Amino acid sequence: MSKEFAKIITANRLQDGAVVFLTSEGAWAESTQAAAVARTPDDETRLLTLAAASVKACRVVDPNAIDVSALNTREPARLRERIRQVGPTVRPDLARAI
Amino acid sequence: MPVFDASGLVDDHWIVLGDADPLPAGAPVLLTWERIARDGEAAFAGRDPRGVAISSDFDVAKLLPLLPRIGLVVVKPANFKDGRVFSVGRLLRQRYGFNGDLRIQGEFIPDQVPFLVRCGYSSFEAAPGFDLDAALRLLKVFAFNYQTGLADKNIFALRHNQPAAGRA
Amino acid sequence: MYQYDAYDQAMVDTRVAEFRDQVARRLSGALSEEHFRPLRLLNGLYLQLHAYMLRVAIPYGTLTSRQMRTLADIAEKYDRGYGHFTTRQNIQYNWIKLEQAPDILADLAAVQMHAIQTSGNVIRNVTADHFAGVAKDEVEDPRIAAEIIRQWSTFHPEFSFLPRKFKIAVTADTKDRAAVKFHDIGIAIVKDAKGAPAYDVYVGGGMGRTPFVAPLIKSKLPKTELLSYLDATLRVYNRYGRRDNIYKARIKILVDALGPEEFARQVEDEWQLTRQEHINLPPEEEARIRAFFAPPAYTTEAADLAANMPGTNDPAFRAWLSTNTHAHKAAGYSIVTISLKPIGGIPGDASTAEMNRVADLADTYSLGEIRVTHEQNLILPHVRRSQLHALWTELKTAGLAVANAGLVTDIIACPGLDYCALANARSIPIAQRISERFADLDRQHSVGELKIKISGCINACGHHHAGHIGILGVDRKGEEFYQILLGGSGAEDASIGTILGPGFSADGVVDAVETIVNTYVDLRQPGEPFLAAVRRVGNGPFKERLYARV
Ligand code: SF4
Repeated sequence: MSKEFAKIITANRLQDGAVVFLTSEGAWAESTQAAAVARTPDDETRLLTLAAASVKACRVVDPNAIDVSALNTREPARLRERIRQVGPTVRPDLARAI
Repeated sequence: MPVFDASGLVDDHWIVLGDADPLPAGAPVLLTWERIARDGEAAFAGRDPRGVAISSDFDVAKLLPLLPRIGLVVVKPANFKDGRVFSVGRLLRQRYGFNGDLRIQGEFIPDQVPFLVRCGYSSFEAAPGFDLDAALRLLKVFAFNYQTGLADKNIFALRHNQPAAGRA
Repeated sequence: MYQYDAYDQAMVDTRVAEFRDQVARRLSGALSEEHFRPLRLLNGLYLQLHAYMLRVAIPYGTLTSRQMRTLADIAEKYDRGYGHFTTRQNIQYNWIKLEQAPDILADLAAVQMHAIQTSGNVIRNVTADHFAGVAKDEVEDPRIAAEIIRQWSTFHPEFSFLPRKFKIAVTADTKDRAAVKFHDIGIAIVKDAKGAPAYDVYVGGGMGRTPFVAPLIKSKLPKTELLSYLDATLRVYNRYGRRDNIYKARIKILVDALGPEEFARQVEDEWQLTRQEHINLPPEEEARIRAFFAPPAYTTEAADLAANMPGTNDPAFRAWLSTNTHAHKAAGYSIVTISLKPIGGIPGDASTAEMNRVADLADTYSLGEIRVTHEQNLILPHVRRSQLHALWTELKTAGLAVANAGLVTDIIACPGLDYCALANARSIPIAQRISERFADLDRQHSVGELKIKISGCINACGHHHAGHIGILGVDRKGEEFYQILLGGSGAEDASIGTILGPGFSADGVVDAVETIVNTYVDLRQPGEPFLAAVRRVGNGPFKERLYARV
C-alpha cells in the first residue's frame, strides 16, 4: 500500500489557522474523511491548482500535498501530518475527531 | 513608476540616464554610482542637479565629498526585507548631513514607509500594485518615538520637556 | 516595577490599532501572505501546526499579579485554557485565531503588556536574571538597563529588518542565570575600577545550528553610553551581516568570520561616531526609569529573622526549602521558585486556574510580584521566611509544590513536534518519560543539580547545547531519533555540550539518560555535582557504559 501514489492536500485556514483538507469540489474540510485523494501526479497538480486559487481568495495559507498511508482512513504517512490531523500527542484531551 | 512623498503623489522631474547616454543640458539627471565613479568631474558638467542611484550595500562614505552637489540619492533594496536601506538613510541624513531628496526605489511595503521616513527618506518610488493609501495612512499612525538622535517626536525628550536632539 | 506613562501607553495602544489594520488588510486580500508574514511576526504571531500561535512578551521576566490574571483570562477567552512559558521569558498560546489576535493585543495593552517584537528579524524581547533586584550579590538591578533597552529597541526604525533575529540579555550577578553568553548581545553589569557599575558586553553567542559562546567585545562600557554602543553594534550587523543564507545570518557568524578583535574594532569605530550623535539616554531619563526599580517596602518581624521557621520538622517541606528557595537581598525574606515541572507534566505549561492561583499567592505572599524564568518556572520574589510554610502548604494543594528546582526532573523542553511547524521530533514526551523515570524525589535529591534540556530541532529553543545533558530530536528516515550531548552549561561557566555518540529511539533515550545518571553517581567524588564530574572525567566513561550495552 505504502508504495501506491496517494496524496491529499492540506493547508491552514487563513482566518483561524485551523488545519483543513481539500475536497474534490475545492472546498476545505476539517476532517481528512472528506479529502480528495490524488492517485496520480496529474491529480495532484490539479488539486494544487485548486488550492492555489483558495490562497488567492484568502481562504487558506501554505497548501501542501501530503502522502496518505491508508486510503480508507486517509491517515497521513508522516508523524508530523498525523499530529496535525489529530492534535498534540501530549494533550489527548484536546484531540479532534478525524 | 509613480513617485510619492509624505503628502501624496508628486511629479518626478528626474531624467534617468544609462551609463552610455549623453548628458542633456538644462535637466536634472539621475546617474548610476558606477557612471559617476567612471566619469569623475565630467559627470557633473554643467550646473544642472545630479542624482545618484546606489544599491543598499553601497558604502555611503564614498558619497561624502560629492554630497553638496547631489540633489537626489536613490537607494535600491535587494528585496523588501533588505534592512540595509534604513542604515543608509540614517547615515546620509544624520551623519553626513545630506539635505537633498532621499528616495527608495523598488521593493518595499507600505508598512515600512514610516520607518523609512524616520530614517530620512523623503520620497518613494514603488512597484506597481503598491497600496499608496495604506502607506499615507500608516504615516500618521505613531505620534511619538523612543529612539533619540532622530528628528521625530522623541519620548525621552518629551518626558523632560526638552527639544528633541538630532536631525533627519 | 516599571509603570507605563501616557507615552508608553500610547505606543502599545497605537500598535494594537496598527495591527488591527494589518489583519483587516490581510483578511481582505490587500496584503499578501508574503508581505503580511513579517508584520504578524513583529507582533508575535506564528502559524504553527494546529493554528496560529501568539507569543507574548514578559519583559525581563517581571509580572504583576494583575498581569498574570490577564494572561490567565486570555488563555480562557481566546485559547484552550492554558499557556506555555518559554525559554525566553515569554508566554505562548497555541490555539489563536488570526481574527481575534488584535483583541488579545488590546487586552494585553490594558495591563501594560504586549507581543511587540517577540518574533521576526528584530531585536526581541529583552531578558534578564529572574532574580533581578532580589539577588544577594548583584551589582545593580539589571532590569533598569533592560527596560531602557526595551524602550530603545521598540519600533527601532533602523533595526526592524535585520538579517536575522536578535536577542539581548542582561545580568548583574557573578552567578549568571540569564545565559548572557548565549545571546546575540549579553550584558554583564560589573564594577569598574572606581567601583561604579559598568557593562561588559559579549557579542555573538548563540545556539542553533552553529553554537558559540559569545566573546567579550567591550569591557566596562560606561553606563551612560549604552544606547550609542548598542546602535553601533546593531548598525555594523545590519550593514554587514549576511543576508544570502538564513543559516549564516546571525551576528555570531559575522563575529566569527571577522574574528572578535576585528569585529570589536569595527564597532568601536562606529561607536566613536554614534556617541556624538545624541543617541545616549538623557541622564534624567535614566533616573526616571531607575526610580521604578527601587526596592519595595520590606517589613520583617522577629519571626522572619529567627533561625528557625515554622514547619521545618516536615522533611517534605525541608526538601522543598533546599531546592526551591534562595537567599534574598533583604534579611528575613526568601525567593521562592514555583516549579512548572510536575512529574510527568508538560514543562512550562500552566492552566488558567494555575495562573490565577499563582496570582493570588503573589498577592498574599510576594507583594503582588511574580517572575518568569528562562528555565520555564515561576518565581515569587519576596516571601517572608515566617510565611514560607504557609505558602508551601497552599502550593501543595494547588499541585505546585514540586521540590525539584534545578534537579533532574526540572527539564527544559521546547514545544517540539507536538506544536511546532519547524520540529523534527517531539520534545515534550521525552521530558515526560524522563520525569516519570526519576519520579522518586529522594533519588532526585541524592543525584543533585542536573540540568536536562531538550530541543525538537537544531534551532535549539530547548537550549540543548547548554544542558548538562542535552537532547536533540532529529528525523531519521521518518522516525524520531535523539542525540545526546554532555557537558553544556548556560551559566557563568558557559560551555557547549558535545555529542556522545549515535542517537537513540524515543524509548532508548530515556534509558540512556538513566545510564548516564547512574554512571555519574558511581564515579562522582563526594559533593561533586554532575557538571563538575563530566568536566573532570570527560565523555569517555559515559560512552563506555552507554554503548557497551548495545
Ligand atoms: S527547537 Fe525546533 S522544534 Fe523546538 S520549538 Fe524551536 S524550532 Fe520548534
